[in-house]
Amino acid sequence: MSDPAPQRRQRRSRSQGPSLAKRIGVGLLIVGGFAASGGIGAGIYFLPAIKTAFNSLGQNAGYAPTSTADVSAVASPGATPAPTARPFPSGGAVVGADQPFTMLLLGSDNDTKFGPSTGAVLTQSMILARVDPAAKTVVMLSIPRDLYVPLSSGGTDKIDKAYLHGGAQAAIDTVQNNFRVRIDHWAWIGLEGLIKLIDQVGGIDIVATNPVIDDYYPADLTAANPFNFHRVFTVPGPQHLDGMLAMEYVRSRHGDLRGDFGRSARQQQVLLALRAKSKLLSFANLPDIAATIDSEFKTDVALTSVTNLLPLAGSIPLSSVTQVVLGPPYTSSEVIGSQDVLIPNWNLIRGVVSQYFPIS
Amino acid sequence: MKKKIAIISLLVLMAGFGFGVNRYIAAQKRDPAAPPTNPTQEVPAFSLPGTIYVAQQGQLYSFRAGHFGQIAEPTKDFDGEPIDWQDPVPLPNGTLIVVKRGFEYSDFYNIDQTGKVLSQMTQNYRGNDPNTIRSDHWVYWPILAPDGVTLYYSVDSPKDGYTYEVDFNVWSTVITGGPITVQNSTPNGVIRGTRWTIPNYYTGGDTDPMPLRAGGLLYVEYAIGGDGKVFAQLGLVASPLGRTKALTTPDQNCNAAVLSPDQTHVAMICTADHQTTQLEVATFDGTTLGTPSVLVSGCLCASPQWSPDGQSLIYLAPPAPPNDALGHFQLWWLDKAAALTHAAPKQVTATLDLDATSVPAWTARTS
Repeated sequence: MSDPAPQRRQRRSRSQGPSLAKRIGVGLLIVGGFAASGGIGAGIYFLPAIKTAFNSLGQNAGYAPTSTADVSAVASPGATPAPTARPFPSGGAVVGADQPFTMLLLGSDNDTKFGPSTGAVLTQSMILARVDPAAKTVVMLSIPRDLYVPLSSGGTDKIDKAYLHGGAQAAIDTVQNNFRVRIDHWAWIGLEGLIKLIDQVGGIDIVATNPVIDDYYPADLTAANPFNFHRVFTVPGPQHLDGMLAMEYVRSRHGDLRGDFGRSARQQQVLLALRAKSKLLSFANLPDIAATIDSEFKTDVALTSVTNLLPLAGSIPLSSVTQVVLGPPYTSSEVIGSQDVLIPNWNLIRGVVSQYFPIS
Repeated sequence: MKKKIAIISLLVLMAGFGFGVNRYIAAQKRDPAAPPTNPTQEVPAFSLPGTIYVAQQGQLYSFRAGHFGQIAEPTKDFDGEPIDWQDPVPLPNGTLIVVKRGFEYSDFYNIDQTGKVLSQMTQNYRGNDPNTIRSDHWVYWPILAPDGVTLYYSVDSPKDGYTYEVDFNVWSTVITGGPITVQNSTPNGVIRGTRWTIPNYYTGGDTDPMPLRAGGLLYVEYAIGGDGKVFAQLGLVASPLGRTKALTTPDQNCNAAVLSPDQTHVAMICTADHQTTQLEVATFDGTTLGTPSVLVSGCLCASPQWSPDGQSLIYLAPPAPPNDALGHFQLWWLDKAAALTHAAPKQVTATLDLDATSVPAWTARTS
């Protein structure tokens, strides 16, 4: 008598062999199908963010700087000598990683006051921000828009015209050349973009430093004629501001003895308030924010890094934020041609810059 | 057939899974712009004696016997811009003086408890109505002096129409009872009341007047220091346009001051640095302030107000995170505020978003 057991084992193994492979294949197919389905579901959700990522994030600054040979020659009379350093290559440290990085934040009006709406606008706000994720510290240095410096695109003029003449790269090169600082990344936001962004996060909470009153506030966002003006008033003290009121608070300058310096301080204040609000957001808010600011925002930061920024912004305590505004004696007022300009005292400015923005 | 059904079922399940992932991610989204509760729907944690008047989103509400009632709704001006009500001040006759803020101006109105306008007390534009105070564009911080007939306030007048300088000055004007009318107005567009202060130019000026029973005035003046930083300081002036004596230092940076009903204590909001404030109380002997006690710190505390008996304070602040993700300002109560050992602050409301710059009013009246 033969033993039937091996035959049974053989039959079983013969019938199980292909069946197992097939089952594994089908199983993988099903798992893959679910994964693909989940991916599509997530992709549809993040579509606006992906679209914005293509439009606004990871941008090249888009401008080939001219020779910087003339940059060291500050033409303005009375100015201290400008640094003679050559430009530093921008784009380096990864946002959100442990390495410190320096970012140039640019804010512009986006009306057509200065010509056709081609994106060629002045930067009303220029803030150099140094973020140290490991030490959890931030330094914000406001660059006065009237600072009279050699522009990377040639000639000497107010620093806010660098962007007008050559976009973000010209602004970066001009700041790098004059301040002897290395800029790793940049971001630009238009006026309307900032208003929308603040509204998108539900407004910001600030402590208004004083009654901010301006009878000649530009009505370029609300009136048909961009040269119109209207009266604005921000009551002092803690309060909740929507986008438009926040814009009035940061943009008003006529009623402030400190002029642009006062405005710079308020701009930093609003940025910090926005930082506080970022704690309230999650990655799932990205599509809404992206859809809101879409064409009003540009940066060279990649989308993956943006997701790192949200938790990073929330993790840095307010007490670890250093704010610097380059008022007197760092700058002095002068009239050149018909323009009120600020003449930099580079010896003093370079001291501050080397202290807070070390070049590693 | 079974196979087909199985495949179709799987496809449906996959589609459902994809939809589920989509909805799961959407559920993680936070809504920082979520609207606050209408105060009339709010269930306060406890009641407080008398009547408290507050503003939310430009509407006035009374908080009485544990319930909020609506008084006045915002309206639109001729340009369709919203006009908000704020800074209610109860008068002895039961009516209120309120600030009505428009797009480019504000005015004082006298309204009753139902929100009915009894009179417009100031006039933004320079009209010819002799019964209104001729103000320039912004008029704020109304307060009735202890004599019951003199109204103190801050207004951006006088100013040259062609200058960038716009600063608040403290003025006082005698008003009469009943439907309020104003005496001493002149047709030239400049207030003919009593001007009390000359502001530091291009600072925003002088605010928060607090008339003293013995004469003189406490107020908040804004200034810019040698370091280029703007700060607020409590000032005391004995007579109109007299020399101002500073009662706090620039480093303290205190504003939003309110005198207790017996005028022996001052509550104020001080902002030492950055973007948080602290609620402080100091004794006041008529000429000097005592060392302030910090009642609440590290908050966005705003607009304190004394109880009618001077024993406790109310103020507005968002709860500390993570209890409040939205930064909405709620009503808080702090008992024994003037005592050496004050009580811990208690949160009265939870889901409102009160207008933080509108100083609440608190009266003993319950009708």
